Amino acid sequence: MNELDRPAALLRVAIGRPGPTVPDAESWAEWVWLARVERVVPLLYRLVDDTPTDLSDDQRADIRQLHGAAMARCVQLEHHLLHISRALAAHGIRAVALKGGATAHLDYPDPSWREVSDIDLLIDPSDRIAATEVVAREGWAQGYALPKGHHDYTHAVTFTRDRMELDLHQRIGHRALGILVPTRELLDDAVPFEVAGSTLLALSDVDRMIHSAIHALVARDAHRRLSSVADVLLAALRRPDAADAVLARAERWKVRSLVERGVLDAFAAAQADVPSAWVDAMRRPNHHRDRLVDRAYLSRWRRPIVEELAYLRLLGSTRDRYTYLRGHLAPIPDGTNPGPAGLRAQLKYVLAKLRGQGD
Amino acid sequence: MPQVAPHGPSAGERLRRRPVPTRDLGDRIVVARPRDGAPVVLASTSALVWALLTEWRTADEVDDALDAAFPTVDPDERRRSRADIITKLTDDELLERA
Repeated sequence: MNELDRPAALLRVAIGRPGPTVPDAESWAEWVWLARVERVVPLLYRLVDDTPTDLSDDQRADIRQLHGAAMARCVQLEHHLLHISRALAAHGIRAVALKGGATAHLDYPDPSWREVSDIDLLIDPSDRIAATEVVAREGWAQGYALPKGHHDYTHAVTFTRDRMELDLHQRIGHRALGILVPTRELLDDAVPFEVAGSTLLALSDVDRMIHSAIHALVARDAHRRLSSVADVLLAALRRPDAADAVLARAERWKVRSLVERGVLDAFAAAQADVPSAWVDAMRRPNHHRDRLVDRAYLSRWRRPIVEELAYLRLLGSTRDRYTYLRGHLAPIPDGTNPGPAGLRAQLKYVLAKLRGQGD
Repeated sequence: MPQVAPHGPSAGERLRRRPVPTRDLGDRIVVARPRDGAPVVLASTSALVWALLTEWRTADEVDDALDAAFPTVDPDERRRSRADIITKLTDDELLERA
């Protein structure tokens, strides 16, 4: 067994395929660690439940307990997702549930197969200030300060409350991706779904697939979770007839190459063949691409400088570019800016930001 | 005659579960308490009652269903269990009454 077999085994649970390995008593601690870090405890629970293993009763009790804890967290988050969505709707603000909050109900055999660790909502950028006020009135506090002037540019603002996290997205991706994929089109095409007797909004099947693939691709290394990769696999397998529509829309937004890579990577991680409908759709020529964006996001390693350049090029005006760059160089307003004042400290800070994942 | 818990349904009263977020845990269910979202885990018998209360039902109808599910359990004990479960669900504001 190589180190990629365990992630593959967990991913394959989501798509109903056995192999390439199963948990055993000796390596159980490593399985549990992987499932917890990658937020796929429900998939490990299913794997153990459906597959003959030599696990002890204590080890089986372990995973039942972990699954129970993960699901307890999910219902708590979902309660607040419903609450916040209703509050926003009452103020005329459209909000669309992103990631696990939607995929658990729309793409998985049962919501208990998908672990959710926070609340993700997409709103129109023009509603950001009003939505922030609504969220604050509901007891959520902004998790960290943004650089001066960056509120219009950030893809999401994080709020916290009672050890929960709420990400209010005004775009579905960082930097250039947030510009290329237009939020208003996503909101206009959102579809309703029901949770606990209430109607929520989710991205359409096509847009959910695009978002899942981009998210899984762009959230690199330590930030990429198997739960996100499983979202891609399920969306691609459950709706192979949508492959053409997904790639056509992604191409119009110049992110098709990223979506294709996200799908290919997901199937590679699961050690599974890409469905023929997707292979055929990918063969069609891609006429609309942003080569700088491709360079930024398709390389094996993160290229933060290229990401910034791709973004600056797409920003609407010189003033926008100036404001955005000035924000990077200005101290963060609440005193969280690291180190002493001075050019050297500031440069170190900027470099740290470029290496990190933040906006 | 078994003693009915304080929040037990009166004769003819019907009960239904409130629509709250839930997750299946095999033979158990975890639900979100309406007032604050705190998770409440329902053990197997409570989970069965919860499943029954998808529709409006009287206590007698719940008893009949439990009778079918646990035919070897003493009827008085079964009623006491049902009353305890209904009380717990009521305390957590998980039931509607009509």
